[in-house]
Amino acid sequence: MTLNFLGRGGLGDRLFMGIRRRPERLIALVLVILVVVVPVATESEYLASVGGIVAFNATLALTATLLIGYGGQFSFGFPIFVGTGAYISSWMATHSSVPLALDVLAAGIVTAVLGILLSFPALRIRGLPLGILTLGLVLSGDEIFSNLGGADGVAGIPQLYLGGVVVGDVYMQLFVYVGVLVLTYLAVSAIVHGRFGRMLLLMKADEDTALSVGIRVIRQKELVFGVHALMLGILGGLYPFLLGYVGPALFPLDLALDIFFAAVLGGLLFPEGAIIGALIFSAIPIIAGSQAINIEPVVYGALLLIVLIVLPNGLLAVVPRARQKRTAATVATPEPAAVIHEAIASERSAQLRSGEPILRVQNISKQFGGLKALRDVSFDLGRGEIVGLIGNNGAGKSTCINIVAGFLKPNGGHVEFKGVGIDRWAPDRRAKVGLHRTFQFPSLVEELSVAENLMAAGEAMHPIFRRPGASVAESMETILDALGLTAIGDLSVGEVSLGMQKVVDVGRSLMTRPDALLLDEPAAGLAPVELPFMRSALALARDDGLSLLIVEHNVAFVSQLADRLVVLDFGGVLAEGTPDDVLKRANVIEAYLGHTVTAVAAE
Amino acid sequence: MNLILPVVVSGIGTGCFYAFVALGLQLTYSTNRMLNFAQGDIVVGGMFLMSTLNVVLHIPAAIALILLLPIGFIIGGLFEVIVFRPLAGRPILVSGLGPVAAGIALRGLYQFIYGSAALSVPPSVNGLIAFAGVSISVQQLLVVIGLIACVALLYMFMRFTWTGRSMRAVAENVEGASAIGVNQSRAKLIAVGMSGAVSALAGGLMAPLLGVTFDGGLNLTLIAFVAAVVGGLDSAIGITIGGLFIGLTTATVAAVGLSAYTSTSLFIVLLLAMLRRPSGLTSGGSSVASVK
Repeated sequence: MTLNFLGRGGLGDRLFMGIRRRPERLIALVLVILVVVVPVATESEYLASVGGIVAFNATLALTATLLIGYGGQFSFGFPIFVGTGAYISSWMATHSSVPLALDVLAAGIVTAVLGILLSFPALRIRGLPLGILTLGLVLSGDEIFSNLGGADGVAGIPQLYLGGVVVGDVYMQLFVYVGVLVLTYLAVSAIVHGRFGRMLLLMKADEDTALSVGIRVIRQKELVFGVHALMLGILGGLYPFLLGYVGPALFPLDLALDIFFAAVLGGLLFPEGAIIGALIFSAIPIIAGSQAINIEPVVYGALLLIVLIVLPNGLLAVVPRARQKRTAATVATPEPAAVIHEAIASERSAQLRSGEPILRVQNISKQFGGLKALRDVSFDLGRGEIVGLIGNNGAGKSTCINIVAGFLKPNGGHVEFKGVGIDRWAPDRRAKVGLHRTFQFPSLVEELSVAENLMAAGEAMHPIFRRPGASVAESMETILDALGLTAIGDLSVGEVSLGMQKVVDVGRSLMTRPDALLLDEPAAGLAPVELPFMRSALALARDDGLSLLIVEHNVAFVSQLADRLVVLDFGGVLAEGTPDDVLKRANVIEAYLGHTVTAVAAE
Repeated sequence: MNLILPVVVSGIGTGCFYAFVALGLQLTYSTNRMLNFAQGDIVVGGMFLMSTLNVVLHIPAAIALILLLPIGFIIGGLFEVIVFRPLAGRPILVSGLGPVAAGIALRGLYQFIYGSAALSVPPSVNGLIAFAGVSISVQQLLVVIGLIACVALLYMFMRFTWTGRSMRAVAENVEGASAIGVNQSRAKLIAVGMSGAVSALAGGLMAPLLGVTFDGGLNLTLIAFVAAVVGGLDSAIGITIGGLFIGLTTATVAAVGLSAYTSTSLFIVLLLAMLRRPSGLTSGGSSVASVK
């Protein structure tokens, strides 16, 4: 093997491209080196201790990047988990003689388990309950730690030895803090820039969408919370060996607020932002000088508020960077329909159109308070069939699709999918067996490109700890091609019109290899030039053997595609049949189409 | 009987104060759908203002308390304009962190102006009332009366005035409210202003009963949230019940000799209340959970 470090395509080239794409990496690297070199070069113990604090805060802020920036969870709990780790390891160090590494590891694991247990009640609820719960936890932390370890804390903790050298002076401590920071940075970067990070962003964008591509949202939230608590527990576990002491005053709420400041200022979506933010946080009082008149908290608070309002993605969001490009498509694209068939449906053709409907809706009723939204609604969806569900506003279309997808519980009736009753199944479980839905307003992940959005959904179907391999990337390219989206694959979602986002959303659903797709108003909000994209996307899916249930207002659009229409009126089925037949019926014209019938007929 | 009554009386006394603090949280949320993580700091602002008006400027307590209402309204209004309005419609994490940042700044400001030592404020009215072997201070009674008056006035305002009804319309459906001609910005401004007035009054009434410290607001914010989780954010009545429940809980914890675990007991109440509240902080569809 030839070593080609600096040639085209070699390591040097890749490194250069990596830095152009993520220039923040270079900035962070330079800053970390400075944090180590400056105190050593100037022989300043003061700067060495400041450097240690910067590295400590940056490590904590990195866990905030993971939990808040990517996990979308609002927590004040950072100090309490560091404290838990510190108390566990110091208790073990003073009560047992196991190796120090075991003390630290135990601190991490116990903290992670406690974190998951305590956060469970809040993680089930969307919104900010975790913020409230962890605020309570941190404010009672002083009390808990004082009662368990005494108000004076625990002293007499042995010092840390690394390779036979005692970590005694501030310089050695600085090296340890920076070492922990670098390891945490590598771990957090690997997590957030990989498939788990993409899945977290998908969940953060919209939990319902995440459920509908088969992600078990609550379990993943627990997992990310546990990982962040593990990191904090390990850091906390090391802490007493560096200080020789642990006490309740070390873990105040202010620590969490400092971390918010650092992570938000640098940019919650950048692991490097945590390092930059922590450095700025520590630099402010040094620059202001020691005679500063205690006005710092006001400055921190005001600055944080201004950043949140003006630059919610932090300082690093404004650094110019090269756009990240996919590796070039390797699949040839002759016949879109044939390609898509190959990609997403190989083993299915045998049972297709076998006469047995894939989805059976039987006597569904739903009541909201005194309002009957659905009364005894029944219809089937055959394999490879497109059924349009139409009706007035308030006719019960949305309620119906929500019940079939598992987002609402019906008051009565059954839903059967592939011959199995799925009434008690959660949306993600329905998705896992091939019953998917889209939403009227697509929640694509804004932080990712169009192509990465498709990747994230495809990866969601694979167990986390198993690599999905090349197949996900291949089917992504195929679907982009088939839907005519290749040209916009590298654009970020914000650069794509709402109409095309909905086409991308359909592509995202196809990535999860569904057997049946429930579409909520796919044509709503599409410009006339965008409608053909949607129409061909849906036709392609049908030709590929998917069964589609389309809830739609645009009768012209849906009647061109649908094999059958089901018309809902006041929560009941008014008519059912082929589009030509149904749209001629007098009761349909009167109840639903009314005076617009001429307009529809004209189209 | 004689063992339980003092606990109940002191529990209701502190419970009324907790409810008073939480009332401001509910008012802000009711129209703006914002959780104010700086609620306690605004109440502490009322306490400091009371000390300035009453102790430094020698303004009689009764007048000072009345002055707190318009001053509090202005503080609330400023909070709306500076914090909530720029963050409206942002992701929930950003709009949640905004008040946290404002709280940091407020506590820093209090420390800068008033220092780190606890201030004391003399009672607005001296005296003790004793019945059935239990005595409470007149000041504590004032807190109870103030709370009842505020809840009653707010109830009538929300129900019988056009402004109040328009605020409820904004809370329930922002677009629909705009369609019938409600000025949303104005409704939100008034809601947060009233929240500021109520919070400042709560602080002014409670200042003589507590030492006033610059960072006391953190615990008050937590208490307001616990009251919200226990009683819900749907109505002033609900959150008042939540506050009373917490007051009785902490009084009971103190009575059985576990006062070193007061915060811990609050955390446990929070944990249990969340377990039986799977849909978020309100009962209906307009819960925190369903706001995307």
